[in-house]
Amino acid sequence: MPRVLAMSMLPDGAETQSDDWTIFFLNQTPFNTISPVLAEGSHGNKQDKRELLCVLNLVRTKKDKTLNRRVVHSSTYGAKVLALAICTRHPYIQIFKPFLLLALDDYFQDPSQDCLARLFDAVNSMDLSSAPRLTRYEKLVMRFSERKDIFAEKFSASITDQKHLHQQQISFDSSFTLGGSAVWVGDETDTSINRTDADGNLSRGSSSQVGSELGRKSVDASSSSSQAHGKESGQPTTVTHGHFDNQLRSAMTKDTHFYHTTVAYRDHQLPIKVPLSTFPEEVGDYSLISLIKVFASHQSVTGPQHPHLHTNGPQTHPIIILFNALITGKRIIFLGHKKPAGDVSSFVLAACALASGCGVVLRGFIERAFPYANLENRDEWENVPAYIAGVTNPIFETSRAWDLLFDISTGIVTVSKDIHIGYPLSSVPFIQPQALRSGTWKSEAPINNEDDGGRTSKETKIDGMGKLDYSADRNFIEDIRTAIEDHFGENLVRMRFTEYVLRFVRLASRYEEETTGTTKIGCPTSHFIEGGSEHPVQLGSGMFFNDEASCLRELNANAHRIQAWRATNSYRHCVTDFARQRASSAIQSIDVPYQVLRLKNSRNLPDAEVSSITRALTDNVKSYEQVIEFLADLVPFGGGGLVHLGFCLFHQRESVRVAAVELFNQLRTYPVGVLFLQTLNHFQRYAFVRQAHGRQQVGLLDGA
Amino acid sequence: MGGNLSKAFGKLFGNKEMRLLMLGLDAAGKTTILYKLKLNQSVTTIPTVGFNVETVTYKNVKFNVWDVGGQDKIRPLWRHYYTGTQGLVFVVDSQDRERIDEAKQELHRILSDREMKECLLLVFANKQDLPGAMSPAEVTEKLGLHRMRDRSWYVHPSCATTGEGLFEGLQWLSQNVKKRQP
Repeated sequence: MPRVLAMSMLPDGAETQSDDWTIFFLNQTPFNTISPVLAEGSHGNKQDKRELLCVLNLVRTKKDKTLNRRVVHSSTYGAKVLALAICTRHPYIQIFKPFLLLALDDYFQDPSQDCLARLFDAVNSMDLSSAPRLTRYEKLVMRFSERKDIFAEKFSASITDQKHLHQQQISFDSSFTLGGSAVWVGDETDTSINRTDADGNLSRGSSSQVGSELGRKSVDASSSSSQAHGKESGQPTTVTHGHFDNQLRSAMTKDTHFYHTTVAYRDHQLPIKVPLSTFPEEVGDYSLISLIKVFASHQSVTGPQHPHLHTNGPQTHPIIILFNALITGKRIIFLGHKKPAGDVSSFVLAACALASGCGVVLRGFIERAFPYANLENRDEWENVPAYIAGVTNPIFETSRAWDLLFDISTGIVTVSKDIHIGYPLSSVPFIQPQALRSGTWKSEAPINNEDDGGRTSKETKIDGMGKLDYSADRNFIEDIRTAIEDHFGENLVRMRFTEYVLRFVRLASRYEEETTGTTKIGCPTSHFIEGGSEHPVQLGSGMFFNDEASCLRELNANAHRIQAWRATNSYRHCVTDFARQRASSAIQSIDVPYQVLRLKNSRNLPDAEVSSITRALTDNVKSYEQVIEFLADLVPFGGGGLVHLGFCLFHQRESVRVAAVELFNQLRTYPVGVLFLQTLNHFQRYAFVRQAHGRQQVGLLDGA
Repeated sequence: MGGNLSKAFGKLFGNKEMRLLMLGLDAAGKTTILYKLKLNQSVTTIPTVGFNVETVTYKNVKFNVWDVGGQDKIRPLWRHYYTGTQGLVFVVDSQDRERIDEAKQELHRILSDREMKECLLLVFANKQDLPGAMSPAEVTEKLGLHRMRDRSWYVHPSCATTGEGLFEGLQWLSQNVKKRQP
């Protein structure tokens, strides 16, 4: 084991880089599993698979002319190469970089065990106990929001300003235990009139409020809000600031996507930013953009074509090939000859993130990733099925132990010439138009349905790949390319990949349903049935397509990679995860993304369905958990957040408008809901406030 | 396609490619030899962690030279470079009499590998400029080369810092390489 560590810490060519980082994992396979002496906390349950450990390693070469290699025969002539590593369970290993830089400097000056002890004590003194712990859905909501104050309410304990702390504590209580719905809007009004007074009154008032009176309270607040709006017609920013917002802004100007803390190392106070929405499949500070920029052209793909990989025939973009290779379990090498080992490591990590939908959708990639791999233990890691490895040694190019080789220096992707031997093609069921599950297209009847169907079936008969004009992936890549050119950030690109992988899984679920009759990875396909006397309303669910032709086209174009994916570990994880999520879901009866897609993409959506959708959402999105899950479902798929539901505020049917207002009112109960409502445009916001106000007037009259 | 074309031209003009593996104990001068050949400069080197690989063209022959670090801890990795090697360049520090026996053992271990059965052996008796350096004949004897029957081998004196003797070694390799499979 020490040798495994030493070799991974001392990358090939370390002496040619003045500084280099390597990243590797422990406890993946027998050869890199460490004894429980080091892995504290794992004693007792030996048969359990040990938890994955991430290692961040810094290696530095200092040339030393005083050491003359002709005179001294030892390993220290000419230069000193030292490496120091930190091993952790946290996937956000990048936060430890400053520690390693400082500690290794220290070690060069004064090599001693004290140096290691100091580093150990410093990193272990990092206190994350007051960092907010977010649920899966909270993490999703956070990463899809650009607001720097999202979930600010969760930072209660970490705010040092004691004066503010007290007030905030009260207001948190009001928001969670009492659910003081309209406080936020009301506060806004008060702010504009007499801020300090109102703040105090409100928080104290709401903390003593109880149940039945609450509704009344929110009515007052909301109505005053819209009055204020009327008065200050020149400033149409009503539902903007929350109560907290105003208070927290003074106390905390830092981005709430991170937990900010400091750690003392010797006489430095190192500022640490711990990202709060990281998933285990996202390790380190990877960059999808750099990955996409290097592998940018289908012309630099060489080697034979394979239907698992080339889903767009010879035109398949290398990034799509990479995605396909990852999900269908091919053995992948990233080679960076004369590049720092840190570079290849981050490409491997970016690839893992890409395939997993940035950690959100799939998993099972990190467990077979070797971000920096080398000749030592080559036999072991090359035998890990579907490994994803980063190497700097071109000797691996000549070996035959990989299926795809991505050269990060040239951008060339090589598909192994033996790929068809390793993965012989089995016949994959294609779906014929007449075999499609009946009734799916009930409410959507394209004008030239028959023509489309005919053409598609002819195309699919020709070949499963290449011949089909499968534009979805091409459009996706084109979008990404434009976004990068226009300097949209890494965050947006990550979000788009999350969407892409989510969509892939939905597609696979539909394919599975078509070919086997059921699906284990998604909601079954169903369509909207208007309620009647003998049966209740049924909302649609599953994958949404605009018409039958595009459904067939997509299913058949994806058939090969879906079938191959279904035989992999990541598919099995997906089945488990879906079952678990389904069981613990706060919104049990509705397939939220489907409804949003209906609202977004359907032509001529029947009023009855819109009405049922909004009603169902209003009935099912009430508690905090439900709101969070709803927002998480909504954001990546809807593309524009709440905007598609916002249009329901203008619907011709009153029942739709009423339900939408009610839903938004329910969202407004929670600070995070307020933030999302603020993303609506002015028209929608104004429509909401006006109607909410109107409804409450009516409510008051009724009550009186 | 471009690659195929240049290969075709290569055949036409008698271009040859040869893959060489340069091994030897640490501090024998392997990296210095590599960069003297490549850059015609005497570079200050530090111990190689891993490897260096460069292409050197001499008299129409393209030598693909792999120089692999020689410290005892990383010698077990040498075997990974054997496949496809046409010539082994074994570098010896001619002044280091203490370790010549260690060098001999390593050399014989390398050559006993199945993958290295066919390859040529060139030994550079390096550091000839230093006082008390062993002569090529002495190196030959101490390495036990005379007992090698089925292999073509050649020992040549060299001085990596000045470059003396290096190209003569390559000359011998290019003349003796078998007209071989692609």
